[in-house]
Amino acid sequence: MTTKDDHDAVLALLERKLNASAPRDANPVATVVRRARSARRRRVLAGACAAVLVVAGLGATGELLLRNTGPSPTVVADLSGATNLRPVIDWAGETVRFHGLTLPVPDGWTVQRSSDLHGRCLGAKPKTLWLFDVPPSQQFLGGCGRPGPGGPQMWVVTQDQMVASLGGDNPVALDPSGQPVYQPDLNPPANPAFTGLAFPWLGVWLDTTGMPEAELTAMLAAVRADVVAPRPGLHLPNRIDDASYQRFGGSSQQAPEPNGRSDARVVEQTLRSAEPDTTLRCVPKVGASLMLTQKVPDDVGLLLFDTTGACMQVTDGQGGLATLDAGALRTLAEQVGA
Amino acid sequence: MREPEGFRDFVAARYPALVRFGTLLADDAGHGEDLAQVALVKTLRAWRRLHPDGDAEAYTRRVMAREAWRAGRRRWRGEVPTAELPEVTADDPYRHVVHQDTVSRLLDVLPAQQRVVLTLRYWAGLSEAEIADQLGCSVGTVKSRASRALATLRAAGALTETFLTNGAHR
Repeated sequence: MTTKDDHDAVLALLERKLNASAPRDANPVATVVRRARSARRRRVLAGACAAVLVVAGLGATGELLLRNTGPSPTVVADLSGATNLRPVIDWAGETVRFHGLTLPVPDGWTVQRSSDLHGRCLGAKPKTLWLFDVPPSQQFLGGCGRPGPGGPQMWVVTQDQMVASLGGDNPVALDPSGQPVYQPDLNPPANPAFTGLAFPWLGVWLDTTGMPEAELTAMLAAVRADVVAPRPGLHLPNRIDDASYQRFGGSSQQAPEPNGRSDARVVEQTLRSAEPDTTLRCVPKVGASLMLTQKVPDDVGLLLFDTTGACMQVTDGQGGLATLDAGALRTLAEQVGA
Repeated sequence: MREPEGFRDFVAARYPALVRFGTLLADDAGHGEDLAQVALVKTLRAWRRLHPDGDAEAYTRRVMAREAWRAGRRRWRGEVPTAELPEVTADDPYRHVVHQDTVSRLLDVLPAQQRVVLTLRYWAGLSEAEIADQLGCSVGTVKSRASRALATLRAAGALTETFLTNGAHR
């Protein structure tokens, strides 16, 4: 006797087991509905019993607490706000809408919502899309190492003053139709272990971790943003104390120094002369993002612009738009080492 | 609980296939049909979000797999029928038929979790990672259950060509 391929053999066994199998219930719908009603009655009854027990238990516990006022145990993170969003959010098939962003939910993933950023660190399952509503006071992504625990996760964070928390993460540009454009270097799916993308005009920040490159690329291609009409003019701090830049696009030879610091005074003078615009006409494919900081009081501006002269428009992180003349654009390019 | 729109059509179309799937997951056809109905009760409750845009069948199958998997965790699983087999002589003309029946019954008396993993792996064609995701367990657990199940079947001669050939001639 020779051993046949396990797969075929097991399949043959399973098929043989099915030979005599046929449904016996002639009207399964009626049976299922009847069983559903019975289950519901049991749940209601169980709920009522539980409520009685809880009330009785609270009474007894309250009496005990009155006698014992010691410290209560520390709560590390309250995940009670985490909710599976499928029943409550605006669903369109396998996509989820969140603060102007429409995201695909990859096959086999679950969606959870929380107001606690630490939720994704504690007991988080792989393949979870987190949606976080975060108050402005809560700073960004502390206390949880990267990459996330256990496998790929993706999280979307929204908060006021999103641009203030960018801190070197990757802003997403808009194409002329108002949809996000991912710069190959600036938003690197080539580094799937960690990709952080900022949609500052929506106040949304998207982070992925541990996602395979193909899955990440497909996911990003399917992300849609609500079309935001550009606001004429750039949002700049009243005073620019610091200007740091990050270059993107082009080959490594063209961008020998991708990150650095510019002369804030020159940058400020150049940008004040920008002409307000309202129509997106082009996307910076090889260019830089400029982070402009005012130290006191805190204020930040974020700009994206092309360093090759192919696109004369500058966008800012809050949907502002302006056009530069060739001389001003050349000055900005020099300031970022291009 | 009222019967929602589309549910009757779904059950009419997919019930036989779900019962077959349940039969493989459970230890016999009766329990398989019961498993299908238990899962359909949950599908009925979730119908509003499963119809028309969701995948009601995938949801139902997932519930079935999980229910069968959980049944394997319970210490008491009710009576497990293990028929005592008659002794057979070497020249019994029905020997290989009895042998085949014996081996087929091995599928039924495999521990529930091993049977669930075999079904999902070989019948549903899921990868080990997908099975782990469906069942909410680790990939290692899936591998160990599959490995033990195959070892049992192999030891009983159920994965041999002779057995399969005899079965085909039956």
